[in-house]
Amino acid sequence: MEHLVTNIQRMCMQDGPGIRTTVFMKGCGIHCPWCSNPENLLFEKEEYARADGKGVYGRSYSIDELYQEIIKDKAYWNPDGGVTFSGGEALLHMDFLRALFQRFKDQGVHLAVETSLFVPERLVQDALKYVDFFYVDVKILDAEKCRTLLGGDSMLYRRNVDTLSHSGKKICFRIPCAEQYTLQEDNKELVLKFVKQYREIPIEIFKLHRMGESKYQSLRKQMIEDDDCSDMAFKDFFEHLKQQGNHVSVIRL
Amino acid sequence: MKDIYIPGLDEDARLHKKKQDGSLLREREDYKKIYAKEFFNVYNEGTVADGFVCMCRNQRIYIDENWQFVYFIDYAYALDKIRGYRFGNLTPSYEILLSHSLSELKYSDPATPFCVDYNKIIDGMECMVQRIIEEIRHSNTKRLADKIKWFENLRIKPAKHFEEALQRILFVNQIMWQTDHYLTGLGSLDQLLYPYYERDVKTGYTDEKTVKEQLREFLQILHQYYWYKSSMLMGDTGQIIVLGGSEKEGNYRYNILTEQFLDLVQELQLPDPKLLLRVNEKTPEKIWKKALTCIGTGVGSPIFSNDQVIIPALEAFGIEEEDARSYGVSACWEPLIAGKSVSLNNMTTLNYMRPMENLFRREQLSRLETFDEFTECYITYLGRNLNAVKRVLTNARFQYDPVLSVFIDGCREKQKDASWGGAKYFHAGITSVALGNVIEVLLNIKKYVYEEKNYSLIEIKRMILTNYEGMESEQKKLKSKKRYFGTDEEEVIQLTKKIMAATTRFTKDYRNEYGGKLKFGLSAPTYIDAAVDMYASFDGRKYGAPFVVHISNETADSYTEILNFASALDYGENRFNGNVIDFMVTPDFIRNNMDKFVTLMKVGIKKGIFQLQMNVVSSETLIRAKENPEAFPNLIVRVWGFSAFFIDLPDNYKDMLISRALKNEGKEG
Ligand code: SF4
Repeated sequence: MEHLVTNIQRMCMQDGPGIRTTVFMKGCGIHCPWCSNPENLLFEKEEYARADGKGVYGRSYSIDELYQEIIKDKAYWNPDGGVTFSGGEALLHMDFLRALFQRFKDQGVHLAVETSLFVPERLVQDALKYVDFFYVDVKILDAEKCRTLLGGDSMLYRRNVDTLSHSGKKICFRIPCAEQYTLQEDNKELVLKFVKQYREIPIEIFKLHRMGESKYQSLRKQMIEDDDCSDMAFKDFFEHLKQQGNHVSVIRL
Repeated sequence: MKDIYIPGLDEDARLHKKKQDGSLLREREDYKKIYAKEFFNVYNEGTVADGFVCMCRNQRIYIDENWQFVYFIDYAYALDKIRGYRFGNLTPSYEILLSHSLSELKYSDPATPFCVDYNKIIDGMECMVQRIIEEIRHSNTKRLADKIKWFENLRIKPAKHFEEALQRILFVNQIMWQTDHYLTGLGSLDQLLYPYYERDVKTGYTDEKTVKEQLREFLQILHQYYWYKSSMLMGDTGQIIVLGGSEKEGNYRYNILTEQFLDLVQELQLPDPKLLLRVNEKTPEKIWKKALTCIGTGVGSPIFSNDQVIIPALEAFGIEEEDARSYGVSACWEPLIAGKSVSLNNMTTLNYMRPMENLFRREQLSRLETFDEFTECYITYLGRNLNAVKRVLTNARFQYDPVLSVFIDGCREKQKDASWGGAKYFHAGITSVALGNVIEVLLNIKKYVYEEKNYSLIEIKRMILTNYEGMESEQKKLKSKKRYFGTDEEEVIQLTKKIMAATTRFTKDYRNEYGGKLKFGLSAPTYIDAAVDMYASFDGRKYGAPFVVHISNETADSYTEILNFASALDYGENRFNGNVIDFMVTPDFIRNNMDKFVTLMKVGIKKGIFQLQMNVVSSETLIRAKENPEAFPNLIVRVWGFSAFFIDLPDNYKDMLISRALKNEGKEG
């Protein structure tokens, strides 16, 4: 498996506390229909074609190169910022990232990860040694639907959430809202019930955006159309979460 | 006369919105022709001082009864006899007339022609004061008795109260504009006014609330004559109020007036006067938040100026420590010692692209075998260009200016006019454009000519001279690739430093006739105009297209990168004549991330950026405002180093802002 990076985004304001640098790793274990990072699904390099020319998604870095690139913004990470690893699925790159995580940890840099948690348990255990903050997606919870729609093992996911929740690390749930998918009636109930067990974990909900559309086009792929969410359904979901005692906030990605 | 214009009323900016560019100036000239014939005859025969006296006797006195302060400009009688290089872009010493009365200033025994003229200027002002008092007496104005007292005091004693100080500042400012000193700055008003405030509050003469109301009116009054005061473009008035500062030990200096000015500019939402906030590492969170909230509303102020970089640079240049610590700026950004300096900071513009163009047109390109040789060759051409710049400066003769001399420290003591070296500082400043484009060109040449060998220099010459004819795809490719300039790659930083250091090498030996030195900076207002007749360049820029704006960011995630870049540059020796980073920011961005934005700014200051200004706009609003100006009469943007109403700008400036906003929001490659 190659460990490629598609983007290093500096000065991210939305990916955790403070000012952060976010690293997007290429490759994901599942395939959410609404994924807004289609360039991050496969683990290998992919050619793209845009109006301004052709290019390749994915660049390989040595750990040191990656470190040098990220560390440029270190001055801005005080008091509470740091580095966030996203993707794709950042944790599937754990074996590669470990040395980098260690280096940052030694320097006291705050580390965050955005993960779907559909990863082997040992990787989660491993990540816990370094990572201070986890953004965890909550998506499709019915075992059957999870397998068909995402290609994921929902039991594994639940176990991983449980492990994290007992780790004492900071966690935040993120729920992408789409009426046809996550907010579809049955799934919505499951989600509500699921997050109710973790009321100490704050939740961020957001509507899907279509910013990824041009990336789909550049890969000659089609982006799904039924990813919308009415204000009413969104608000209703928000109120439900609030009523059952979850700390919920709305974000715009 | 009255049916044609009434000062103070029909000056309102709105009425003159459409008077852009030439028509504005032409109209002003017409006024002069109609009204001032007689006046011109008088003073064309005598000295400037005689002209001034004549002006004071004849100009219209206008008391706006609704204001508690008196302020008027009669531009029909503006004194603008040009005899050489005109003084402007300066800040007079308001302090001189706060701590002295007019009569105290007079020479008791005027021995030299200068002293005679100096006394005439004071006589002229006394005459004007007398006429103002008469006019107040016959008016129905607010605070009639107080106004009379303030003007009577002006003749015989120093200012005592806060409100009196405000009136005197307005008076000096009005004299400067009336005598056609363009781009007149306002100086560090929070510092200047604070002692009066403190004393008045202590004795119960006034209170915080009253003072704030007076400052509000003060700002509104100064906003009048917006179109008359505008220089090259509407809004380009140079009316900058400097706030904040640093103590000797590095502590931050501010007071309640600093906060009031920030609050008021935010409330009033006028593009003029403008604010510059001096900051250092110790600037408190509270001030940062106030300043960012203010600028977040889109009002265009304040611009930030880093004391930690600027003060040491000024001192190293030869400015006395205390003066360096009290620095202000000229119209846009160039550091200036207010009231003590007649350094013209924008005497001409160095166009970094010119030597590149000359190189391609004149040099035997085949002999440049390595990138280093190419760069050295560019630097040689740069040196030739700078020789031409120096010649321009050496040939400049300055206008004899006894009016300005009254308000510049040192002239009175030395009995010397500002134009004869009466001021303490008499340096020359130039600005520059297109360094960003040149760095881009150089690194593109390094890559495509010397490393990848895709093109020869001759082929590049053809692209440039034919405006990329038949090579449109090359042009597009160059245009759309990520820019080098403004990134924190070591190579980019080193090359930029190298060109800046070379500029210093060619300029540091220059002395003007009063021993003044030459300084330069990386910001200039001319990024559109200076590019108009310039060939295409090997960065995808086509014939006549604008240059890069100051040190600017292209996308929203490059803020840290550009701060790193700008703070890695060396602003020492003579490289401190304004180096501003220009941010494009969407309104939500600051509002939603206030704490993080404060952190960003603080780190930037600590790392050593020079200055920073922001355009807080969304592309959507700008596009709508361009299509439908009537719906956005109050939309303010930042151009060059000043803020202005968007609808007042010429179309090419509007387009430039729109395209930068689109890029910043990731909506355009
Ligand atoms: S987990 Fe994230 S990256 Fe992976 S498919 Fe889903 S949305 Fe895309």
